[in-house]
Amino acid sequence: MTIDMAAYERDHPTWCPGCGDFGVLKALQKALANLRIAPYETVLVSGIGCSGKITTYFGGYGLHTTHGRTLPAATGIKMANRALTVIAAGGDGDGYGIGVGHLIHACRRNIDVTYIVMDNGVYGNTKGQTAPTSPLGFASSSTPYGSIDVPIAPLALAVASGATYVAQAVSSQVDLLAGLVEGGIKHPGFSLINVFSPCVTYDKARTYRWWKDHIRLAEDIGHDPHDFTQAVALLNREDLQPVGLIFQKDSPPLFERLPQFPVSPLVSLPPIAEDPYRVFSRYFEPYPAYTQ
Amino acid sequence: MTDFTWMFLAHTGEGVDSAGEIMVRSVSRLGYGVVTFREFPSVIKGGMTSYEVRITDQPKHGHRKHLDLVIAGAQEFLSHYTSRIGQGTRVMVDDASAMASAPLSALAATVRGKTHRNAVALGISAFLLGIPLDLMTDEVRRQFRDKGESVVESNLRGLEAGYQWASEVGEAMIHLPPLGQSAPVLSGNEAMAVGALMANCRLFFGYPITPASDILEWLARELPAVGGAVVQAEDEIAALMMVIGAQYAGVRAMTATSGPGLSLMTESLGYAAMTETPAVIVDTQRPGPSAGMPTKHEQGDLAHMIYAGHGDFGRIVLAPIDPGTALLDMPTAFNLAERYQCPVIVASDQDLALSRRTLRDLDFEGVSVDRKIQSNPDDVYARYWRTEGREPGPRILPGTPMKTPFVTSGDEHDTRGGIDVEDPEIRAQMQRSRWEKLDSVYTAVEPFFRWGQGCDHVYFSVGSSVLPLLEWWLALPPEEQDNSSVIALHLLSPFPTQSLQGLKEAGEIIVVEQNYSGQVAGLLAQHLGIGDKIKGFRKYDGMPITVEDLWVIKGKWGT
Ligand SMILES: Cc1ncc(C[n+]2csc(CCOP(=O)(O)OP(=O)(O)O)c2C)c(N)n1
Ligand code: SF4
Repeated sequence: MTIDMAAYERDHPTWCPGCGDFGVLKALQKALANLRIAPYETVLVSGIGCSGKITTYFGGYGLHTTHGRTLPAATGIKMANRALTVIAAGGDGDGYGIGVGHLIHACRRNIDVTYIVMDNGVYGNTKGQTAPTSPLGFASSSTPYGSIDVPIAPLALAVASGATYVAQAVSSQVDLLAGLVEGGIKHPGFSLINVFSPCVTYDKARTYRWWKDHIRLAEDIGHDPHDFTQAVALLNREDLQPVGLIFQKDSPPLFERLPQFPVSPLVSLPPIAEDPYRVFSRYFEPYPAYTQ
Repeated sequence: MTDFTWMFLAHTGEGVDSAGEIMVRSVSRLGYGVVTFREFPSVIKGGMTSYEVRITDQPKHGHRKHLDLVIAGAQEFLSHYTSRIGQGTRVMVDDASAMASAPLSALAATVRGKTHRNAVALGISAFLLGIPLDLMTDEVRRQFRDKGESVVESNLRGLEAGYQWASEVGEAMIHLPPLGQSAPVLSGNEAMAVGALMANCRLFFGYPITPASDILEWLARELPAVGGAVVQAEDEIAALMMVIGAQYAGVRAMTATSGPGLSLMTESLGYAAMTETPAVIVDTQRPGPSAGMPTKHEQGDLAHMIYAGHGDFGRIVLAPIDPGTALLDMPTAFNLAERYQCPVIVASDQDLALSRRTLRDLDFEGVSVDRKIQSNPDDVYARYWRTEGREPGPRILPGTPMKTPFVTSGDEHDTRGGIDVEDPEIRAQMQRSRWEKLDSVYTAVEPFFRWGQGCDHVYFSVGSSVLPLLEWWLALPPEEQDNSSVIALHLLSPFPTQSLQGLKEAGEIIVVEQNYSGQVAGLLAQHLGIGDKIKGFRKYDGMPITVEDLWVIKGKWGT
């Protein structure tokens, strides 16, 4: 079987023409093809939203979960079969709103899953309401008088939560993004890749053009992604949005922290014991009967 | 006949647990059966805890209200138990001014080295119960051996001082001659944890909650050694979603929680049902709603387990009645989850979960691990195909070489997994097939357990409430047993309507359950239309039903 981008195609996407998510799908397909990973060895776990539909357009195995729950499901899959390449993908509402608790703990846990967030600044699928990433004052159908919350800073949150691989790109930067996804897949541990993925239908402000004017490639400004303090400072800059690899560090991934965790995928192990009584009696022997 | 309930009451931290454990082991080694109960009443200042052990030579598994011997660290502790102290109860308090005092502190003070009152109390108990001192010496040694020889020695001196004192001031209350047998003693939580290993469960995901945490903690200790792991999830939504992820990828995984956690899990429960992914969930009930009474007992989540979740979907709910059925229900639950590709909830309750009971005559014969996985799919493989019996066909797992790997979605889909959230025909067909696959569940598991054949009075119950009921029923005169029977509902969902048709012939049905609204009675009325025959015995004060509680049934209904 040839592994190329075509092998990773499925149904034709029904996203609005011009939707940022097209670029994300393409970059993901490209990264996997570059890494020569077969589609059947990959599971893409997605959330709910326009972004969540990505599983149906993607040629590997797909698990289309509930809203916000990609990371726990991906964690279960990876633990059961560590030989699989497990990618989680979803929207900013999915990952930074309803599912943000899971993000923090996935960072702490450092499970070897690559998480791609399609950050469009709105709730696209429910018709353009304000998202956790919308700017303060953002007017939408759910906040007609302007958003009352400051936007979440997902990458700063991730870095503070112990994330070991943090990157960012605009979805139109397909090659850059594919490279970051490849890096994330190769990274032994959790990786978060935030993608500015414009919603051409519900956000007329943050267009591809707008992003082009506001981003800077991290390495172009002399950023060292292995330096925590620099990463925090870069993520706090108000004059620009950094793209590229923002932060990476070595830290034992979950499987190295779990005591005696098997090197072979759990799914391939033989049963704990053929004889159920053997299992039981290992822990619960009858007490020795007393004789005078 | 031996039937004796011993209780030790002291401050938290005074080794009440160790004393209870030593008592359990000692009488078990003599061949007696035990039923334990622990309490931590939060209203009493100073953090009192109690450990009671019912000691019998009969197969009895309920709790008795009546206490035979109470050794209390302080007079005020007794106020919580006045209703359980009656004629024949021997009360000994560590207080010289008390009516019947036991100088626990004074004796402990005479001992060289530091000893606790619990050792002295055990010595007194050993004498009063006729437990050989050398046996209890053995058990004290065993209990404290990890703490070093000096701790063992001082505890032994405490034990001896108590034994000596008791033998000087009075007579033994009973004698426990060795019966020359022995059996293991397990709580329901322990049984479920080891049952999960018997089922080849390798992953556990959970969030701590009383009274279910023991399962998490037991497996956290034991799973690594057998090639598995426990992950403490950030919440119960995550816990069940992790279970679903692992099961989707082909590894048996489970979670255990109590009502508050099950509330959070309902979203994922529906997801497991819609995606037809096996999942096993233990719900250890405690009184709700909300935080309710975290350390107390109730059976108020039964309806929740049967109906929880938005949308119209089925699931399997099994209700074991004691640690033995709980143990064997775990492999059954995993097999059913895999055979029917649906969530399976095992309904536990605080008393079943925490009380330890002697397990005799366990039959491991029928225990097996039945997988339903296919490894060579052809190109026309449809994830949701059905066998002739309308049961799900084997799943294939991610990682299986396949030309077009498929998508698994909580959105409505066709038999191949293709999402279609519009088509009325597909929707109707898939709803039917998700429900109809469950039609045969009642043939795949014992839908109920039954004792007796009589039909005039049927005593119907569920979970640990069955234990006092059964004991009460077994004590009825033979002619009253002849015209009655006890039924424990094992399969709560899908309700085994076909198997229970006989109930329509019953004279009257007395439903014994631990909730106010009569959730089990409601099921019988709903599925069998026999509401007019039902009388209810309901308890909802947070305490398990005792055998004595049930005496009112006789008074009231004159069986
Ligand atoms: C528990 C729950 N609440 C609400 C919804 C409705 N819902 C569907 S998608 C969505 C928001 C999607 O926004 P986002 O995650 O940013 O993805 P996008 O559509 O913008 O790609 C919401 C609120 C749901 N499906 N589940
Ligand atoms: S609504 Fe926005 S996010 Fe959704 S498909 Fe259209 S452009 Fe993309």
